[in-house]
Amino acid sequence: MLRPLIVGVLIALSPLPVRADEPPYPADMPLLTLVDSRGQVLASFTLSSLEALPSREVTGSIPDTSDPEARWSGVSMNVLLGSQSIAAPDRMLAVGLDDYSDIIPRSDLEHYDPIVAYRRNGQYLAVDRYGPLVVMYPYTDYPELHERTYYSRTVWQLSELQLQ
Amino acid sequence: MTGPDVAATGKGRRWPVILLIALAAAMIVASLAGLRLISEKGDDYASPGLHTEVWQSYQLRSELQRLLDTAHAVDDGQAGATSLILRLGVMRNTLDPFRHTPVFDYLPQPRPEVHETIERLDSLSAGWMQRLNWQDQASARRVAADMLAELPAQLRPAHDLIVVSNIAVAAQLDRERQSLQQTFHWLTVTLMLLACGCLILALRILSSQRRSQRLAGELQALNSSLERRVQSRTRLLHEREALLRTILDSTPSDVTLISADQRRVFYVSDDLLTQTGTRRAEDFHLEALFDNGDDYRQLVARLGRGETLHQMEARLCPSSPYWALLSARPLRIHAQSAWLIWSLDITRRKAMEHELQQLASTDALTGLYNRRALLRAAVMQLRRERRAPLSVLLIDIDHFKRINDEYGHPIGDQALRALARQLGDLMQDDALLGRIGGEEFAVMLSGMSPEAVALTAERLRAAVAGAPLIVNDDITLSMTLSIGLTQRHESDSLKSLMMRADRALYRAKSEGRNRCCHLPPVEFTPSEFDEI
Repeated sequence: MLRPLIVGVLIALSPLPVRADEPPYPADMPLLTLVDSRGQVLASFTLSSLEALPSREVTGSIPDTSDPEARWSGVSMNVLLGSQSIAAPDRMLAVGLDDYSDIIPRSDLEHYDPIVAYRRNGQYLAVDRYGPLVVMYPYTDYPELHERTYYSRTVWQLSELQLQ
Repeated sequence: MTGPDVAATGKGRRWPVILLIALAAAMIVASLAGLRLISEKGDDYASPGLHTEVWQSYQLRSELQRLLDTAHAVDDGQAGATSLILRLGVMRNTLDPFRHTPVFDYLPQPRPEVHETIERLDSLSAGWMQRLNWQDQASARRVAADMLAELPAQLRPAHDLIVVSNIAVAAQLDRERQSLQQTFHWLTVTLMLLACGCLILALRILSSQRRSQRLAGELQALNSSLERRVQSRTRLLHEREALLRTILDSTPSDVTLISADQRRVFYVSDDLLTQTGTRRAEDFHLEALFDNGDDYRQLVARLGRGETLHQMEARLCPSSPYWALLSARPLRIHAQSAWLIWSLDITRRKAMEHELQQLASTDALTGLYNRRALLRAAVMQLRRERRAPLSVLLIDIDHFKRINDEYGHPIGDQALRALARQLGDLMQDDALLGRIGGEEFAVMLSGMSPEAVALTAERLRAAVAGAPLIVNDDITLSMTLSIGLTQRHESDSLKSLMMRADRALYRAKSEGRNRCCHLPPVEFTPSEFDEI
């Protein structure tokens, strides 16, 4: 309980040096691809292109890990789709690097506006630390999200979004 | 019931109360314990459970295979450092949960080889990760070669990890199930205890209610019997009171029963109420009954001294007074001093008494005093006014026997009455008139000078001599009077005075009748007395 607080305080006191860190992967490496229902690639994002979009911050933690609650910054999924002028699909299949996947329905985008996070407490995520990208729901703002359904949709090591 | 019995019963009654309080306390404690248990268990189930180890072990096994495939590709030059770092990263990420999970603690038998596998995979992958660089393809190939040498031997332990994870998760789930079951057991026991406690309390309440109902019933029965008794007593009292009232109402006397302070009237006869013009007994005032306030005050004073009064005469009823004979005595009613006053109307008796007195003192024929009454009145007069001059006239009708003989006694009587009337007309009002013998009258005059008395006597004699008496309209009687008169000397007794007057009358007779003879008052001497 005390540790995340201390970490939070440290981050709040020294945001600049942390933010100034280099990402643990090339910034121009393709991290996320948007694919339509037929497998056609619609768009591809690198860290730079993601960071170029307006960012959104939520608090929560990755389920099924012992990670404490943290601030996650990234791009709202609505903003992400909007940047490519894509209307929110009924369902999106979020696929991880480990080939895990789950379906995110449009209602989630409307109600909770989950983000594609690239920073945890201001730090980039290494691939062996659930990175580089994580689907994160605003767990702290919506306690009803603490259900297996949303835990399953919190896909780490996100690599692909299939629009359906 | 004696004292110790009561104490024993009290002690006996106290025990169930203590037990009930203990029961209630136990129920509260059990409820609190149950609540705490539920709260703890509830916290456990507040967020979805973990149990992802089986999936993660499959993933790990799968990622090892994919890493091996990627290593082959890199070794063959078909893939680069990026792919290898990504796959290695993913593999390491999949391995990470196993380094912290406590799931293997649930294994029925410890499996140390699992931890060895995890350690080895971690150290190998960490070493490879350090040697890799996103841009360095040469080192990627060297690392890939190492992987190809090391990883195949790790596939079998990774498979074992899946098996062991499965067993461990199953064991953990069963442990949780058991714990949950135990919780339910506890809750069941607690609820049963609570139910038993509620039952006991309910029974207790029921029995208390029944007892209180029984007690209320007994109380009501007692109450009604008491009411009946009070009613019968009250009836008896009313009957007695009515009897007493009847007795009092039917006594010839009037009765007043009043408190000594006269604030409360216990009883008063209707007659007395009527006489005092009082409508209600409460408004009756004793003082209003008396015609003479002195009588009232005397009565109150004597009763106040605790005296009993017998036969006190008093005039009652001021509006139409009558004589009453009062008997009164103080007594106590309801611890209060009271007076009982009987009053008997003695008007008739009084009238009779008056009549008797009249008869005894009056000459029946003329209505004047008889001899005795005249003398008594004279004595009274003397006592009243010792120093006032007193004159006596003795009057005798001359030759009255002839009238009687000639006309008969009734005419004689009429003559006597006519003379009596004339005496009454001529004499002053305070003169005492009496018939003291057959045809002999006496007049006592006080406060008059001898000359005035002599004049009066002469006037009387002249009036009778000068006016013949007409009786029955046809008989004319000519009467003359001989009158002897004298005054009282201060040494005179009534007897000596009368004797001197008699001597004067005698002289008048002897000097020829129809005249007045006056003997002046002289000091009384026994010799004079002897002379007669």
